[in-house]
Amino acid sequence: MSEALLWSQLREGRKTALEALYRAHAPVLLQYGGKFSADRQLVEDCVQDLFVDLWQRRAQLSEVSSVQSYLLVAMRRRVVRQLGRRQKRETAEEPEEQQFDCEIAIDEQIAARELSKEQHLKLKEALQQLSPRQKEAIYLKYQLGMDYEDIGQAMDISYQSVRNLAHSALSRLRELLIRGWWLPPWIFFGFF
Amino acid sequence: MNDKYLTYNAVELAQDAAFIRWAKAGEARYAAQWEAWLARHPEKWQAVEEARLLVHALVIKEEPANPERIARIWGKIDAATGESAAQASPPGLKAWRWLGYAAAAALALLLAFFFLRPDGTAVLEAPYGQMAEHRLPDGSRVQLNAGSSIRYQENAWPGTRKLRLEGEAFFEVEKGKPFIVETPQGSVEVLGTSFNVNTFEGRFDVRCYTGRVQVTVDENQEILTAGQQALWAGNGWQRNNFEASAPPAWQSGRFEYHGTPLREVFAEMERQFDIRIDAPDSILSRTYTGAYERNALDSALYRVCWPMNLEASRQGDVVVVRAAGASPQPGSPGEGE
Repeated sequence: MSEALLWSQLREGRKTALEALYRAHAPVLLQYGGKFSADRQLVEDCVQDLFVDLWQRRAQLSEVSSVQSYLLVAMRRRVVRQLGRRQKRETAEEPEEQQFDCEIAIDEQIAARELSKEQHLKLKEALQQLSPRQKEAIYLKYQLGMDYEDIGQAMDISYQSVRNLAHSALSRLRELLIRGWWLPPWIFFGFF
Repeated sequence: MNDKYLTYNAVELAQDAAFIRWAKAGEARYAAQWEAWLARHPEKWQAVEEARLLVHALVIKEEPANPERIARIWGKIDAATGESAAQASPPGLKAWRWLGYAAAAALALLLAFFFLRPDGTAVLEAPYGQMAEHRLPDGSRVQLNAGSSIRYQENAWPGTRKLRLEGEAFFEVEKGKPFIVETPQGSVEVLGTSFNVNTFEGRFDVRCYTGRVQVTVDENQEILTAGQQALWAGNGWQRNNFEASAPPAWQSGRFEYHGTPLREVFAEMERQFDIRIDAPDSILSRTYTGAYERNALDSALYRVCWPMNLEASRQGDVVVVRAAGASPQPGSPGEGE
């Protein structure tokens, strides 16, 4: 509710709105940017440029359904562009796709309660094998609460591809995580 | 509740935005819906439990935000964007314009509890976690802060313009007969003007934005004009000036404090976020200077607690605040490690 209000105040040129938006979103933008590059300065510069640019273009901004999604998409584009430029400069080669990297783990308490050592180990392996894109989809979905349409826009892939990415990762996780006693009761009745 | 969920299995539920918000944050307004739905469809219990497990099982390691880093980058943005906040506001921005935005935004979420009692008393309540906007019978407007209420005799208007306020409200009064706001602490009387009255935690704080306002506690009267504030000090009025060209900060969803006791800061957070804050008496009288926005509870807790060297842990809608390093609360979620 107040996000929409801040956004319209920003469009009207209220600098307090710019600051409020910055303070609300900067932590997440820094964290998200940091998943593409360990270069803290580069990530900080991207956040700075993003907000300066937002201020300069305030009159041309349109309404957005989610301010956070808008900022995350903008942040991703900036970071990826900067990294691509640097790669080109340093290696004189066409940049490859930028890699998203974050450590996804299983909550220790849940692991201790629900899983054997062997299951936990299997899960860890499975999580390590997730592709960068799967990791990013899960990160945006569960850490930042974005919906699939916005994630698709951020990652520049179709809605269906995002769903497939996340669905396959979660199905695998469920398979490994859910223990035998979670199976539906009719399985047991089947013996009689 | 949408019955599309009947066809969802655990993996699909675990990807549903409304489900995640409930499972992760335990947001109260979703909880009631989900619990009612589960009561109607007990066969979905297993899928829901599995999905909750999935949502909770994934932990992403995150470097905590560093306030110095955040402040440093803002310094650069601030310098690069030049104009100060005051200059950047268009000069012609009329009070009703931002009121309009606030009202439009409020209406979107508004479950204003307005009802008329058989005896003709009209009651408007803004529950915790929500603000409310209301047009009085004479066309005057009132914006209620969260956890506030007004009541008035509807059939007496507009001959007698009188209402009773508990909590905090901003009024825009049409010209006409004297307009009287009664509060537990005292009363405010005006002809046509806009003003803010805050009576939370026993205070009596009146700010006049346009026109003239008369405030009364027992025999003590003060007249305020635009930009003047009167604060009841228990035995007399304390007068101050304030910047009346900006709306009361609470309306834009930003809460600012200058040397305010934590008791009052936490009370406001309880009203804004519809939570309960459990903190030892020993810290409640310490004073806080800073601000938070009402759109993100975790960020607000952080911005109040971090500079005070306090730790907050959240369990559903109960937040436990302790001095940093005090014995940790067992099993509190949402605290990272």
